[in-house]
Amino acid sequence: MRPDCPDALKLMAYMDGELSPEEGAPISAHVSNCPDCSSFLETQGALERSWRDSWQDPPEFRFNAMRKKLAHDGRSTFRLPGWAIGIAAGAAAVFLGVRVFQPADRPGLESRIRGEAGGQVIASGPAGSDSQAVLDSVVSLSGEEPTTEACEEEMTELAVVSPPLVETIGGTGGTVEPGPCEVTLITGEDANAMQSQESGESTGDLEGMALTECPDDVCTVETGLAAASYGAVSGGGGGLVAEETEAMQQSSASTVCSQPVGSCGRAVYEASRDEPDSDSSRIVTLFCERPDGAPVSPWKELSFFVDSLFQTRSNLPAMFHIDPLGYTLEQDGIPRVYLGVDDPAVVPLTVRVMLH
Amino acid sequence: MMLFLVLLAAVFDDEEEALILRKAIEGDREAYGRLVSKYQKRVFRVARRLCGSDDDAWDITQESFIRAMNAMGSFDPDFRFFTWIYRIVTNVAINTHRKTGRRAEVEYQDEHGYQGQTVTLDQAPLNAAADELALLVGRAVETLSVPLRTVFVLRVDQELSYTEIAQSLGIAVGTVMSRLNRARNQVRTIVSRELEGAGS
Repeated sequence: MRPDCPDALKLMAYMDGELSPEEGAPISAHVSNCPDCSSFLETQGALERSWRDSWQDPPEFRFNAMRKKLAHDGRSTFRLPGWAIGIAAGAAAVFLGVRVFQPADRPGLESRIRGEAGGQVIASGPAGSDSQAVLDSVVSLSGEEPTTEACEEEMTELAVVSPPLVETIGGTGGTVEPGPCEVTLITGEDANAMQSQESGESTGDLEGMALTECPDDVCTVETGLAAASYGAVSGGGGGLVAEETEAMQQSSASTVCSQPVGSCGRAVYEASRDEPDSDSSRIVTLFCERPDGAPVSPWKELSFFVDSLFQTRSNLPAMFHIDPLGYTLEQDGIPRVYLGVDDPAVVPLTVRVMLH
Repeated sequence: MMLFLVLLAAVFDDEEEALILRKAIEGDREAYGRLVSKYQKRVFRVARRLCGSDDDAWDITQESFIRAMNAMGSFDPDFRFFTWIYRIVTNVAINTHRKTGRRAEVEYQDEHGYQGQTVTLDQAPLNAAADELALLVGRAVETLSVPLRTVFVLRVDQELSYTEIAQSLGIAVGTVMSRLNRARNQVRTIVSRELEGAGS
């Protein structure tokens, strides 16, 4: 190339149409009189065009299949039974570190989950404007009850990969003993909702949720959680503080596991992290037990997405939501519930609970 | 007249997408499904170009849409959806690449490519058949490091502007330019060598 030729970046920018008319005019004039530069651009253009034009979209049915799978995993076919969601919610509470809130700490809280033993609020959060969306989701989520055979079959199948009942994921944090766990739920706009639940009635937003959707005969749930501090995920950075981890463990051992619920609802959990995570996922294994005494078996895997989206919010409190309705994938026949990250200022962290 | 109609269609298209986006942000699954339908081919194409395997590309595409759905509530509608989804898909692809680590990457020791330096002028690519050239370019792209490959794919294949690439990847425009230049040099050099080798 001649000494007066523009440098490569300029030529490339010119070729890409990135130069302003003022910048591009002298380049254009030069190229039209410079065989080297014009040849270079021609060669580069041919090379790139050939690659770009060689692309062929996959057949349409592949995209249709993918969309169906998204929809399938997202909301329709894969419908978690109430007890299953209860397990997910209970375990998520432990995993995420259910923080003990007092109503006075969070004015305006509309939904709470109580452990019956002490009447202690173990998780709470704003219902907010997303309530209806949540309720709508739950309605479509519930309704399919696993048969006894299916339940046993699933347990049998999963027993193959059954880990010890207590397992720590990652390198830090404590462990949680599995125990009987049924969550009493208080939800809705006011305490009347809970009273209605307890009396077997359904009112308010609860009516739209799952009272009429939940099956009458479902597996009794026990939760145990093969996980502890969320800090384990990042290998030391962030995660739950010690108090939260302790509360989490206590909740699991005594508070969370309390009394039969008799209804369905939703819960809001919070967890906070201080640092972004470089890894992309971790798995929590859940356990359930049937009332007929079937052994506790691993039931679901929850895969946590802690990805680049989260990294963009480093050093900010982040909320992770379980959405078994929308963020599930089935892999090797095992449903996986994906946890996402939401901006707490926009969307309350939401965990759906349907227990019996 | 034709230009006017095209512009009008673009405006309506943007408005329609803004409406769909708003609904999707509010949790409307149907609206989100429309976004998926609209962008699925582009997302898959980027994924495929980045990872080099159909299976991985499908996984990446699906995972990207799931992640986007997860985070839809926090999407800022002031930004363009496609730059956002590009960011997601490139991050997912990078994570996949890290996990699999299947592709050997060749660090390009470029003698050229930086600003102010000369470029190679091999014309051999012009003499090659387009399909052969495409094949060689594809192989060369796979040798690029992930950062170079990503910029190359977004510019050359997706024809994004430098600014759009910078937004999608969260890097400076200058970085886009330098990476793109390095990537192009590396690809061109490899292709030229291949063609010369084949011809000798």
